[in-house]
Amino acid sequence: MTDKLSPAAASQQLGLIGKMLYDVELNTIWERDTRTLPWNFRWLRRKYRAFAQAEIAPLSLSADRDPHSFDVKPLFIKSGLKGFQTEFFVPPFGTGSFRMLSYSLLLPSILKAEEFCAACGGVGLSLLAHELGMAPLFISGSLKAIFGWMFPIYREIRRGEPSIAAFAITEPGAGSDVEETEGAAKANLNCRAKKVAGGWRISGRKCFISDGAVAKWVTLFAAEEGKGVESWTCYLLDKSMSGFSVGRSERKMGQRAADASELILEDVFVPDERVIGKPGAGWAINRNVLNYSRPVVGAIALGIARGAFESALAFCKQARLANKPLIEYQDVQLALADMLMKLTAMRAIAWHAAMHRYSFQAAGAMAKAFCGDASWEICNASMDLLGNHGFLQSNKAEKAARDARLCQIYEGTNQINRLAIFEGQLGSDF
Amino acid sequence: MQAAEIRTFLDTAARFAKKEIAPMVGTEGRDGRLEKLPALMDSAADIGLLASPDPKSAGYDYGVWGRASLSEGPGLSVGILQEVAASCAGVAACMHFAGLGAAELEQPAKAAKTVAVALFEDSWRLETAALNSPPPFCLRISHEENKIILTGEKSLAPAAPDCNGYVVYGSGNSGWERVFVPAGAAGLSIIDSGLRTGLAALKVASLNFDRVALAADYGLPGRDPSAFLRRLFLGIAAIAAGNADAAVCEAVAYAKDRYQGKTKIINHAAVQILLGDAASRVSAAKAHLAAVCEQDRDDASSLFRAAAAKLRVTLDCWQAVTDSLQTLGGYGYMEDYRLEKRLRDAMSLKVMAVRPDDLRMFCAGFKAGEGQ
Repeated sequence: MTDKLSPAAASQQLGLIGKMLYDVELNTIWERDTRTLPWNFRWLRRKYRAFAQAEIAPLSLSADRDPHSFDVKPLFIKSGLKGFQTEFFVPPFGTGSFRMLSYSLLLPSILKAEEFCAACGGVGLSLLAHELGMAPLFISGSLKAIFGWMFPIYREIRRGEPSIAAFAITEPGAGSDVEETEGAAKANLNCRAKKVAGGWRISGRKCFISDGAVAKWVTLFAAEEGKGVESWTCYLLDKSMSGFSVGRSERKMGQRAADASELILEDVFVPDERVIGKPGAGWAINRNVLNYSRPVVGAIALGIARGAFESALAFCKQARLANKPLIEYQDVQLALADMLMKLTAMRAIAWHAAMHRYSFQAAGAMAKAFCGDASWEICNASMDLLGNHGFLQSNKAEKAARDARLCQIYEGTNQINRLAIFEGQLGSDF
Repeated sequence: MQAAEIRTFLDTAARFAKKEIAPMVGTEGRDGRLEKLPALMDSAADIGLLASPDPKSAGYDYGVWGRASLSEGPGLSVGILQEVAASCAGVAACMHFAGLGAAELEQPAKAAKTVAVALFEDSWRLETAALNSPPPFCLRISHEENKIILTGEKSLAPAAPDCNGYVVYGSGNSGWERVFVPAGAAGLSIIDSGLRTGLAALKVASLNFDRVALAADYGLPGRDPSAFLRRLFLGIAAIAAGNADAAVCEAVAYAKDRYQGKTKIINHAAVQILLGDAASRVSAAKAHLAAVCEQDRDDASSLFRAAAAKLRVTLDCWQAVTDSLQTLGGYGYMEDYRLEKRLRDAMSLKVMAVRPDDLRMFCAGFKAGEGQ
């Protein structure tokens, strides 16, 4: 009797147009969401997923268990040859989609971050951090930086070289300070640049730098001696520079495959041509990089949460309780439905942020904070659903939860991001 | 035991935790120097914190879930677990599960120093009906001539690392039956769970009983698992509370010491909201736990209260720990500050034994049965 009442069976009673209007396909939300995109982005999304499932997912657990034995470079080269590391520009300079010029600059990064991090938050971050390192070259708006540095780096990547870039703003005594204006004005900045003939001499330390140990290039921000953050300037350093070394690699709770290292600068000479944008433009570059990177962090959180949901769903289909698959129990369906609703809301806010032609602070901060919090909730709900099995590493839910926790912290804590929504906007009616 | 004596005993537990356990956890390695754990457990037994089925042992009466907890209530055991968990939730969990095993044995078991309890299985979930009779699909205990035969599986039973036997609950001819099974029994496979989120000090293994045959005197007096469950839930809640209490203290100390924008972070509204919420959750959790211990009896209402405490306290304490970690920003996420370990432990305590939704339904089952 209930079979006859199912939507698929009942829809057969309708006329042709009625049947067309009544979508009774098995739920494949990923596919349905994909179909809402312009065809270029549909194609990209499928390509990212295929790569993530074939190349990233198999490394996930081992890279988490033993991060110091994991080398991201071979994978970076593969993703570079696929065109995934040079997408800020369209051909012939880069491999970006022409459609992004008219539709959304940010959407490819958002789609990529979700797919890569659904396979593994740590490996995904390690691959995605390169774009963050490259972003200042583009966002500075300096043709010298774009033509002089960005395109040559792109050429190296497309030749199959691990020409990885890292983004270095955080300092041991200034984490949140460099993420918001009020703190920045009073920040205790440690990394200092001194003008000398032909360039700058930089000393100090940066910490928690994603891909810091594996990067060839570092876009690094430093203040002039005796001045505050208004003097912040962005420099492009490379690891071969004398006095530039990598300190400790952090031991983290999650996203363990992604290196987070301390960078040590001891009187490093940086020639003038390595200044990105104008001297003193560093703060503006940094803030706008965050406007574009925060929605991507939201998508990282989304991907991690989706990975947790998928592992919980697989577990519930396979595990049996009193001779019935877990998925047939209503309490399990209720929990999975909550997770799926939150996932859909996360994707909506991340894609919404990408729909603006130019990202802006409130959009980026909302996507980042909302997705960061929701991801943590979903991953923990996934662990809850698995019960005693939830805290076993082999079931992936616990790894996803550990990975998700970082999304509430980096790129500005979620508290800083909430404040960023209102920063400079108190007169706005939103 | 009088209140002053209890306080003295708890102070001993606190001193032991700070002096012996905290250095083991240290700052090196993901979960501390676990190779020191067996010696640490021996020290805990020597000073009477660890219960044992042996009447000559120091902790026989007043160790965690020692004999006195049966007559004087769970307050002391819960207090010790909170004190120990303030230094390491994993070590506290080892003491808890060893104590639960000891409390199941009416007399010293054969060649067993540390015993664990195996109740749960993947094939059934805890419902109030299971308190009257074992659920279908439960591990089968049968009797053939002078032998006890066990056939079935137990899922992920937690134990102290030196555990050498299990008290196994199963379905017999007369309802719930219990058997003491030495870890080396023929036909028993102990399958380690592998890497876990937290509580790394614990040994967690699935048990497979392939017609394990034991002499009749390995059988224990049959009883339903209510008393075990009450202690299980209260102990897990106590460990969660002790762990979260310490996490809040550590986060407050950090917030009083660190600056953002030349202002101590404790003075920022965002941090005050995080810490205020965390502190109030822990305060409520401890009060909840104390009230449940005070009302504990050998009855169904007490089991309901213990289950509700496990549910609420582990959830609130998990939230308190994650808020504490957030206070430290990036440093909280790094292994060095140990708050990430506290969070991993809190995550584990929340899901272990009975998952939150099952506990909710278990509690609802009690309410539905009231007055019938």
